[in-house]
Amino acid sequence: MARWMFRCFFLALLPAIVWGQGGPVTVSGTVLGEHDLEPLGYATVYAEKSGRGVQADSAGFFRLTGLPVGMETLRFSHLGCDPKSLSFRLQRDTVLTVLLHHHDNYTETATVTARNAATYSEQLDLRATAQLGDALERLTGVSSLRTGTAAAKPIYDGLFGNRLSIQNNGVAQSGQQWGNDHAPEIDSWVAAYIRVVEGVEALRYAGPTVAATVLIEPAPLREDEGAAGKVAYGFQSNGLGHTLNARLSRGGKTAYRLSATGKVRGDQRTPDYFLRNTGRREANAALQLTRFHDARWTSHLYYSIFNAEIGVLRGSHIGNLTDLQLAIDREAPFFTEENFSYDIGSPRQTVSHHLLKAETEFRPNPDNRFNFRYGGQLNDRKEFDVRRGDRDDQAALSLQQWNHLLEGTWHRELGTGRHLDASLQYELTENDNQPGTGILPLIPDYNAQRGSAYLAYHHEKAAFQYHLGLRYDRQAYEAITISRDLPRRIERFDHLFHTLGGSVEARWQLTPRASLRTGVTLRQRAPQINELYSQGLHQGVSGIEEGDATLAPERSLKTTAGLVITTASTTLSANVFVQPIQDFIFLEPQPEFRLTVRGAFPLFLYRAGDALLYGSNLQAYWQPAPRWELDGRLAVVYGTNRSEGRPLVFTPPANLRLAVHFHPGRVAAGWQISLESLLVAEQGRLDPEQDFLPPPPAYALLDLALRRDLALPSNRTLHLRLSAQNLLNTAYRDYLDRQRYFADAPGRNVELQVSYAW
Amino acid sequence: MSNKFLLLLSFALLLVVTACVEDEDPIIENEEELITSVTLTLFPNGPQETVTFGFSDPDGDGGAAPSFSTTGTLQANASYRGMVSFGSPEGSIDAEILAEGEEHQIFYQVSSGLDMTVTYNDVDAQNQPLGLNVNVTTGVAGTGSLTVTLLHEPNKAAGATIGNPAPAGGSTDAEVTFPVSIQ
Repeated sequence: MARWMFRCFFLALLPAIVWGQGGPVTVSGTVLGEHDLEPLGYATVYAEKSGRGVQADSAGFFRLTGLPVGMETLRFSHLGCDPKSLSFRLQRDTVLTVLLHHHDNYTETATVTARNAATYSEQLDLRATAQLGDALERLTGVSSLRTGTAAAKPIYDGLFGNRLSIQNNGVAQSGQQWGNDHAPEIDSWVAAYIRVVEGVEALRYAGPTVAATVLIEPAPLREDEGAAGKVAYGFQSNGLGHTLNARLSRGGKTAYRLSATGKVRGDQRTPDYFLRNTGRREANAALQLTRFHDARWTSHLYYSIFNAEIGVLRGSHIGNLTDLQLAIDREAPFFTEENFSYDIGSPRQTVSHHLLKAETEFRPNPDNRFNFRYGGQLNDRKEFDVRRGDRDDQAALSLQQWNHLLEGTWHRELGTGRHLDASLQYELTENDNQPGTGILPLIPDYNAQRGSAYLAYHHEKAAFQYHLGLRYDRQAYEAITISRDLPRRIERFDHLFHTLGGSVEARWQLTPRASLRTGVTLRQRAPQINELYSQGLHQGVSGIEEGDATLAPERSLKTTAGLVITTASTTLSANVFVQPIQDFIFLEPQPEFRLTVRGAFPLFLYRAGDALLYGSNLQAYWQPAPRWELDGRLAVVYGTNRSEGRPLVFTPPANLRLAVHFHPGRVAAGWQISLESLLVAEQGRLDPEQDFLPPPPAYALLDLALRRDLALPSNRTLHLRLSAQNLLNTAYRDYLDRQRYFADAPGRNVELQVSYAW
Repeated sequence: MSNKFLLLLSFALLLVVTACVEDEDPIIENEEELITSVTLTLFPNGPQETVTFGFSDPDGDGGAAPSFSTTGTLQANASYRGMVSFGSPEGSIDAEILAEGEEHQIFYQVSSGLDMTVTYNDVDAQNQPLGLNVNVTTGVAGTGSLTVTLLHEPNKAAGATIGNPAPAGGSTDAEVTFPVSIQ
């Protein structure tokens, strides 16, 4: 994917230690980021003359053996960066420390770090007109749980929501993450790196999670960089969307980056009809400041605000099961209009999310690094329903959440390739329903306090590596509920959970071209407040959901194994996992319906059972000729609720992505054509009584993109991109889309993007 | 810069501390929109007695189960003027439904086996049926059920009839099925 776009600057090549003599020689070393000396995991090193290459490990360590004495050109690239070559005369075994410099506007790294997956990068900027969920979906093993066009939440290895936390800029994204129709409140333009990590690395992060966590980070600031800027505009034909993003940055002792984004989009369209009330507006801004006090001390300040108003398909607002059945039986949803509109009416959501992060990092000596961090978040979510009277503008759900995180971490080098990481965290969450909705809240007010400790040991020498990690959390809740019977009373309940996590991972470099890795992670997850106390009707799914205050923490044991084979022009990666989860919390449908004034509703109670997830990921990358790249990714997941003897709901069906990239003419001419297809199988593993509707049939989508980069004088660049998603205008419905009961997924979208960087 | 940073950190700590202190009780909402009762009253056009069918769920969806009540006896081969009333914890919402007549319609579905005919006896501002007032005629004796459905934002032009709300779409604000016996 447009590897040539990513400009990695080779800053320094430091021969560190030299020993040995004669014969075939070995070149080994570590690839580090120039800015913060963080290891650049999975960088590739290719000896051009010998025609051999290796991929560095997660610690950036590489080893090329058996090179002949004499002139050799080594090409280093990190995660799809444009290969940069350096020639030198090999005389004896050599150990190098390579510092790579990422340019701004680069990329994301589609890395499943701990898995050592083959990694293909892509320029997130090119996807940034889409929602964050779409960018995430391009990582192998990641699917999206959608609510039509309104929200997308990542699913990784079959887990999502309360079981897959998202770290925004190192701070666990707070807010109403329990809601399947609540997308993470993050501006995709600010997200430069997106990764999914698991195992030891994932233990480091807070948030309810049972194995993996999603990391979303902005590009770092650097001291040695001049002033730069970028303006990008995107137009989307489906929904007549306009997106504008502007960024200004400057390096120096006090470096900064300022980013502002505006988005407007109207009703989207399926191949056959408009999806009424599916517009969206966003206004986001972020300020990033870094102060390089001296060589040992750096401080960062980050503030971002995310504001969105999101329309929800009008035809998906239903009152009871009869309405749902009528909606299912229709070809086009109720309230479908002939004409396009930018208007957003009820049902709709408005969200604003503030994140303030202050961080200081101190390195008293090369072996120790201390980091102190404060993260504060304010999440304000309002949901508006179609209501009687003049209440459409009175929120039906209005929640405000404050979240404060304090964290101290210590990084200790114990010698070459060995280090310790330790951290302590304290987190306080205060969740309040805002008065004035006229409706008893689904989620009660609560206060939560969490204290955590984390310790990890990394041994990353040469061919055999291992990592050990431990984590402990003490999670306390105070829930303040309103009784459902009369007279209404306020009741307070306290809960205290102790949870443990532990992980062991190992990796062998079997041959220069093949590596094997395996890991076992035990993690407990305390029940979340919605699982303990939710009470009420869940709109859109027509079910009444009730929490269970007696639930205990879930215990998950995930075992993974992976094999990576790399040659100069191909990378093959295969991963398997199996994950039994004890006391798995799920919604159990009850045999008796609950009678209400709107008729009878199915009743779901949160229950604990045993679940088993297993699956596999396969990735292949092949560059048959310098101008051609082929890329294929297959993900298969199975989930079973062993207590019920039934499949788990919302398990992604098998999906395959195939892509061909072609650079016509010389690479320097800056052209690229990409053709990408997504094939999604039918989810065959679901009992008929588990859903209102059987899973939709398999579908295939085709995307086409044409890109041109023009280098302008004085280091300016103009990027042009024309692309089409769902090129064939296929009408389809996706199993993981909760709006599939009501409408088709959006049809063809042609997108034009122009960006100018200086 | 470092001074500023310390200032910021102390500000952050202050926030944490103040946040710990605040711990008010939530406000219990006035659930004025919640429908907690549905009452259908049938006034006879002849010498028969007045019949009422009631549904009551004062605590809403959760809590105690709703209850049904019937007073009076519905006579065969008689005609009645029916009046339906919807109540919330804050009182009747009939005036609200009447004021927004174009956005509401009430449907009456008679189960098979019950010899009963219901027709509209009121209209909204657009001269479309509303359904707060109806005419009810009974035939031969029998038992069955009558489902009263209050729809919000139905499409009144879509061809729905008093006994078939399906084409109208919209969302259901109330749907109550009364057991009915004609004697």
